[in-house]
Amino acid sequence: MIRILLGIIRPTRGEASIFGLDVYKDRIPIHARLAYVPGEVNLWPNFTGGEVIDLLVGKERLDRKRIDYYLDLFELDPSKKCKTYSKGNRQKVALVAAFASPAEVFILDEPTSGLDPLMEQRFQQAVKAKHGEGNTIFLSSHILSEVQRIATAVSIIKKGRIEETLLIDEHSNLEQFFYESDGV
Amino acid sequence: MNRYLLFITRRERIVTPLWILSIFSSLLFFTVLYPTLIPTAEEALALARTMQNPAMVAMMGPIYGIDAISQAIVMSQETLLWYLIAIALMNIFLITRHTRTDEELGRVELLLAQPIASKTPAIAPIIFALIVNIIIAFFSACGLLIVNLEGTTLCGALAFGAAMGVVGFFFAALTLLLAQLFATTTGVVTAGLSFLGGSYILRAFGDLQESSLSLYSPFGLALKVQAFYTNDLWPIGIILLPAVALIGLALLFNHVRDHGGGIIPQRAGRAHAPKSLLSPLGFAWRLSRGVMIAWGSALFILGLSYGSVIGELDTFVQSNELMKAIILQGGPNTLEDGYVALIFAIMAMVAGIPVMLSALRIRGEELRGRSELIFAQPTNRIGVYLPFLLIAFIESILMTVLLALGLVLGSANILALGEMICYGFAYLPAIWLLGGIATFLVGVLPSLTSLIWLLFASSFIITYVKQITQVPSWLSALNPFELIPRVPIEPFKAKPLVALTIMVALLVGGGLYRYERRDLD
Repeated sequence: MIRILLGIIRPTRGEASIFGLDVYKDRIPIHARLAYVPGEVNLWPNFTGGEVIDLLVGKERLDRKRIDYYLDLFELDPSKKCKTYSKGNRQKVALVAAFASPAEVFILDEPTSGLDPLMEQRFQQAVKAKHGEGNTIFLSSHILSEVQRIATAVSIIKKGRIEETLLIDEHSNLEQFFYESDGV
Repeated sequence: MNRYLLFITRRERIVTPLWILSIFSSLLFFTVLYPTLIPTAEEALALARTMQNPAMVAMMGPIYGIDAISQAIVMSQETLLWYLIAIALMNIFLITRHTRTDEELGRVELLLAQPIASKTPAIAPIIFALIVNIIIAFFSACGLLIVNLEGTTLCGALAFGAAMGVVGFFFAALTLLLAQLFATTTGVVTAGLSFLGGSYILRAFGDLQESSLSLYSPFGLALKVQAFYTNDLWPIGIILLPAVALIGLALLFNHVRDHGGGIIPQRAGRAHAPKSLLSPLGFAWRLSRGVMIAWGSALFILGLSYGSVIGELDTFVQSNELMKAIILQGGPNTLEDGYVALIFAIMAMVAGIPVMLSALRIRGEELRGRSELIFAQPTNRIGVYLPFLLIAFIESILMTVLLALGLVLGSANILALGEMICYGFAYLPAIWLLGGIATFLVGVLPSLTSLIWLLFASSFIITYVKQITQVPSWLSALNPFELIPRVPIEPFKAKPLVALTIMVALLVGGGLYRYERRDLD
């Protein structure tokens, strides 16, 4: 589904839009205002992390200060070749690149897999800050506790269909909701 | 230690036997060619004389034993160096695999948690390499004795095999040391290959000047064995001494250094991308430059070596009717023109390989799961793909020019550069067609992109076979290179070239159009 939102594949049925624009036809203007972290981060083995981050942020949107801020936050050494990074570090490269982009919508696919608990916390901190600035964060996750902590609205997808949608606050019990909707 | 050796043997049960088998079978294959290549002593002498020209000496080592020339001597002089390089490569990779790579991937750590001595992971691979090199030396000597060329002696075969084994062991020892010095696999392999290249070049200069420079190169030393002539064994001893010293030093460093680290501190890479990387063209260049540089130098060197025999073409072909027929192609041509036409017909295809690789690279990005990252950017797909095609186009021209330049320099300016470049450029449309078909496949039939290699391989085989026998015309029609007039032995015709170029434009256009629109994997 995320690949449809990115205009990389076309849906067999139905349509999707971001900013009121068609995700396939208008992908270029949409992508100028969007940042993405893939579920499985594959990088160029001979590029350094810093090079990939600059490449993904893009020449026009490059802001060294913002990049350095997120490098510090996630404690990532950008001078290493990507092939020497662990899974968690590759994830961090994609996260730093995404958060350092001046985007309005962030699409994050299982972004904390491979991160240690401290980094997971930093990630939530970054998400909350972005949300506080009025941005939209689209998070796909299997970790209910994480969703409970950072999400304001949750949809459960089953076999390609939205099964349930729920606005949550600190009182909602996501787990109960999840099992009741039978969306395992 | 025994169990560790068995463990390595088990992990190597496929790769090492494959290396041994390919070295052994190529040795057999090339050795059995000699009775047909130089059936008589005069022909052996003629060939040996051709080998005396500087370009050949630089490439294959000095000729020896002119006064007692035999098939075995010529074979050894022409081929031993290549086996030495092959066995050196095998040892560099073998030792790296079991030392630095294992350490980098954390496997050594796992093993060190077992009750083994801390130096075992360094010693066991070198013992394994020693055994493998002895096996190769033994097999090679046996192979030579089995083929039994004219002039083969037991001592000669043993000296030939020993030279291979000892050079292999030297490079194993060297790599063991490098694995202690550098903290990454790439670092170790790069240093090993640089040393190999340096040794080859040092030997080339030494052999050209007939100076003692060659004695500082393991290759130069090993060739001093002069198999089937003097069968000297002192070079073997001289190579063994530093090999043992290298191992001693490696074990010492292994003892002092930290696990996971190297003696030489790691250089940090760039923390930021250079400006050039951030444009689509810079990005494409960064991904393509390695192949481009490697292929360009390979074509230049091939050009040099093919060019170097131009002057001796007459002596070379005099005694060999088959070769003469192949070169002349039954026409009233000069030998030189026939030879040049043949070289271009075959080398133009080799020059097409990097062009296809560049046109296919964007598909590789897709298969390695990186196109999601690229196309989540505000760029259209054509904008990313076009720079790769531009690079493919530049490569087609650059490869041709480098080949022509190599030919001219190798021939010591017997050939004219302008003419050679023109002959080469006649093949450009066929090279572009390969790139065009690749682009079309990437856009329209992405799951079948490997078809391009099938097409290329069949074209190559058709071109090759056609030199020797007739090929049915329907089969020839499958080969785009057939449409090119075989300059300079055929007159230049513009029509097929224009037709090919139009076809390329259509294929590239169609491929790009679909690539912009299709679903990406």
